[in-house]
Amino acid sequence: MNDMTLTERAVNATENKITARNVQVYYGENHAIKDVDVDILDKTVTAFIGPSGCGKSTFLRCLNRMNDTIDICRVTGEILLDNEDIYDRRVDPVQLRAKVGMVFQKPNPFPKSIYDNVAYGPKIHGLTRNRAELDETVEASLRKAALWNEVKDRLTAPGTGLSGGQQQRLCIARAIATSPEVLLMDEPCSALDPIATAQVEELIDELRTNYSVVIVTHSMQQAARVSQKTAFFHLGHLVEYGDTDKIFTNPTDPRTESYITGRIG
Amino acid sequence: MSDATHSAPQKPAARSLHQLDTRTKRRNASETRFKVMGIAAISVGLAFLVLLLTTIILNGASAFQQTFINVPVYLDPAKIDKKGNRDPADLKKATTFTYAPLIQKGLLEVVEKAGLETDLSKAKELKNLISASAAAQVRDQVLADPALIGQTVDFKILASSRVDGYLKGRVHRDEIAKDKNINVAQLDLTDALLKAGVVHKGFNWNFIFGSDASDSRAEQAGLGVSMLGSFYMMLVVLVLALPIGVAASIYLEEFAAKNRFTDLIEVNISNLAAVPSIVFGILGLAVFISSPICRNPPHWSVVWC
Amino acid sequence: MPVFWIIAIMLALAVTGFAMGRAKALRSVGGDRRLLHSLPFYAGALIAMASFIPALIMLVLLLALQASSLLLAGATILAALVGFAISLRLISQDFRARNAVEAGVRALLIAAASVAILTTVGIVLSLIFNTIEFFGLYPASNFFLGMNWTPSFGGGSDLGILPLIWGTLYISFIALLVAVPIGLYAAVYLSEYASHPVRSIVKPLLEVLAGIPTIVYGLFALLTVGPFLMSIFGPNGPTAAIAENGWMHAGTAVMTAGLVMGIMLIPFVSSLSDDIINAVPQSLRDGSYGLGATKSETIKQVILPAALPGIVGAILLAASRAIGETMIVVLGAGAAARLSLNPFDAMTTVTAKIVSQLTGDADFASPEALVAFALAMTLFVITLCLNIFALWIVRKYREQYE
Ligand SMILES: Nc1ncnc2c1ncn2[C@@H]1O[C@H](COP(=O)(O)OP(=O)(O)O)[C@@H](O)[C@H]1O
Ligand SMILES: [Mg+2]
Repeated sequence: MNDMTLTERAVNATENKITARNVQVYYGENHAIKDVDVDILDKTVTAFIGPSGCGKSTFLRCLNRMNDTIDICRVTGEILLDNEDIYDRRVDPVQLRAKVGMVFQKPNPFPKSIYDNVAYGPKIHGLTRNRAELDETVEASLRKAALWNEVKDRLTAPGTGLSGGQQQRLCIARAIATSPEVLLMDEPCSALDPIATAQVEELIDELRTNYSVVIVTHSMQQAARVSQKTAFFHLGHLVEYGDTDKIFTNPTDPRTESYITGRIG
Repeated sequence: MSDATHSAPQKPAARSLHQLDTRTKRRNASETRFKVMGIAAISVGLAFLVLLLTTIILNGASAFQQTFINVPVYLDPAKIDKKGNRDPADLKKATTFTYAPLIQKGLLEVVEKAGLETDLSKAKELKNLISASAAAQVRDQVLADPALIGQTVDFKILASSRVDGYLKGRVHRDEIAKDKNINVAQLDLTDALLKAGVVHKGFNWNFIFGSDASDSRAEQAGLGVSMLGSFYMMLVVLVLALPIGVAASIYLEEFAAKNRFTDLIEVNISNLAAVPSIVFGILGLAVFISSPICRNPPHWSVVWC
Repeated sequence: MPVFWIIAIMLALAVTGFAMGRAKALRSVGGDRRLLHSLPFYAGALIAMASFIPALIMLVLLLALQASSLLLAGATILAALVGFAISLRLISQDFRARNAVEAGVRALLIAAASVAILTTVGIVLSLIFNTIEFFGLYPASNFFLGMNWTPSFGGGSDLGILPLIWGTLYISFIALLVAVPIGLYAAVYLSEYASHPVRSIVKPLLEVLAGIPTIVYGLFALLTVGPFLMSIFGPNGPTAAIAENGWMHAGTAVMTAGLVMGIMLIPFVSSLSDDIINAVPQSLRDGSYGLGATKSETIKQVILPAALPGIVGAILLAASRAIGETMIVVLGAGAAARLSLNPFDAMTTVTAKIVSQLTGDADFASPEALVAFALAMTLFVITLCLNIFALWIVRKYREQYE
């Protein structure tokens, strides 16, 4: 990654993809996210950092309404995707999630073949008209996830038989296959070894040419390596949001500074 | 890198999230169908449960009521105590055949006194209204208290199972043409007696505490002894199965190493749970019934058989 | 009842032994329990066990061997006393009473676990001799391949098992046809859709169905379901227009028994499947929802395939229940052994015929009675194979997520 591209991309990506205003999340009585306002840019990697339990995953899951699957969870406020409120009554989360894909902390391939894992999304959303198109989508997704060369000879083998890093890239391929506009990743490398982590990080950097990527991470080095924008969460508040360089070199809020210098979290 | 490459609107088919496309509508419809199937399955299961319980209760509830007849019986000394000495040994010689006509006569007097209209003029013709157990009931009472002889005593005796069935809607007038145990005139009399309060229904305590009865006296049948049997059975099973079962599961969970023997035990245990009960029945037959112990039991074998 | 008194004496000895053992252990160190190898409790427990357990084994053995009551009492109490004396002598300061007690308890537990094996051996033994005797009187090939079942207690009967197996399988098939879809849909709904309160009420209610004695189901078949089916498929129902006299000629039929048995099996399928579906990791559900799948798509394409081996195991267990069921068949299916395709015909099963052959007045040595043992043996082998297969599948499934 050279400095030139980094600045260039950061400057070019000015369009808002997601706009959140005054978001509150409650788990029953527990107020987990408080007054969060944030603008997430298109074709940018945005990192959410913060101590454990501060609400990073919770906020991430608001962006594709995965919180709907938790009975006690209640979300208020406004979250716009391309200027459309995703919590509007008319929005079907099923359609939303096809546009906003998600990759989880632990690789979770389905107990199906590699091919069927990737083809799952396109099939349920009816994105391809015939088998040839589906084959194409699967291959393209696996290539984008930098997995094609490793699995092209064993597409019918079970996805659960891959190594941890390969499984996680398979899950990324699976998410890409529905041609989303935003990719949410919740600590995608925390279950991986350093080499697999490096591969996934490299992949994330490439993904940003096509998608808006939001990544939750525990590792500040990782945030610094892959993201252009960083948001620091603390106790449910969004404390500071800005260019990654600035957050790590010259934070405005004292809490951010304590966190990145290792005094809290 | 030019501006054109990353302008979002270039992406084709950027449909609004606020409009459901037809495919999503179809998928949601199929979702609803699936959910309805689940609810239907549960409803069917619960409906079967309700149906089962209601038919059992509806079919069984009438057994808790039984028809009785109030009859004053003149305990005629000339019939019961021919020698006139009230000696219990002699009294015992009078069988139920001696008592049955007395009861019938008593009932006929009730009918005549109440002025009920009936085609039945002889005491014998009333026999079918009265349970075969009534004579034994009267006799037992006389044997227990010989001083009653010579008096007219009020008895509450069981009605016959046909009369009981008629009042519970089990026996119908148009179906009894060939029935030797009841006829239309007797049913007419039953109705009249019911109105006069001589025949009445009451709670059937005997059903709960009594013992089994023969086919000819179905009205006398009770569950008590069978329930006692079931209870003992439960007790024996509990005493045998509980300690052995608990010990076996403690061993398998806490001590057993993962080896062939443990595997064998586990397969055996789960298999025994699925072996048809009839096969266990045959095991019982072979071990207990046809073993020499029980064919020729020594005195202590009560604990064994 | 001498047995009662013998056991009472044994118990008394055990209690005395416990007190004496404890006392002796304490005495051996002059009351300073820190010097003992094991706590005094173990010394007492050892003597109690040593005096009770060998005597109990002796008692059971002698009872089985029909010893006279004098020998019974004498030998048993002697065994108790010997165990008592030997173990009491062993107690000393350094005696490892705890290890001895633990070894004893372990042996007892193993013995309890082995009862299952003993019972299986007992079943096989009680069946095998009479089965062999039967095959001495009646050729095995006629038994296994015979198409006719016409036992006559006078002799010269046809004892082919095929009509009975056919009846058994046909009824079980109909039962599973009822139980599997209803049970599976119910399980899926309860584990994936139902709210917690609904689930906690409906699940136990459905399980009530499994707790009702089968004889009650038999009566239900005889009194309610049979007449109901007759009114539709019988001579007075709409099917009389298609076939002369309708399809059904009596209330007892394969359909009657199968339907009722199916109701009985619903909770079997639903409870087991529910447990298995719940064991599918939440991460798979999240993965599917995250891709924009609806709940039913997730269930059909991710959860059920993942749970399939376990569900198959559950269904096989239900099938072995259906094959071994007796009372529902006796009351609901009729008594005629028949090879027919019409589900409204009366047929009978292996279990029902075992009952009727053994409770008939045939001489116990005649093939008509002995055939019951051969039938039971066949049934035992079938359910055994089915169970081992089901267990194997369920275990494989468990390993997948462990
Ligand atoms: N499913 C849930 N049910 C109830 N509370 C939850 C749930 N998930 C998260 N929380 C609570 O919300 C807060 C934020 O959690 P989370 O978003 O997982 O934090 P992070 O990802 O930053 O570590 C925590 O206090 C946690 O206890
Ligand atoms: Mg988290």
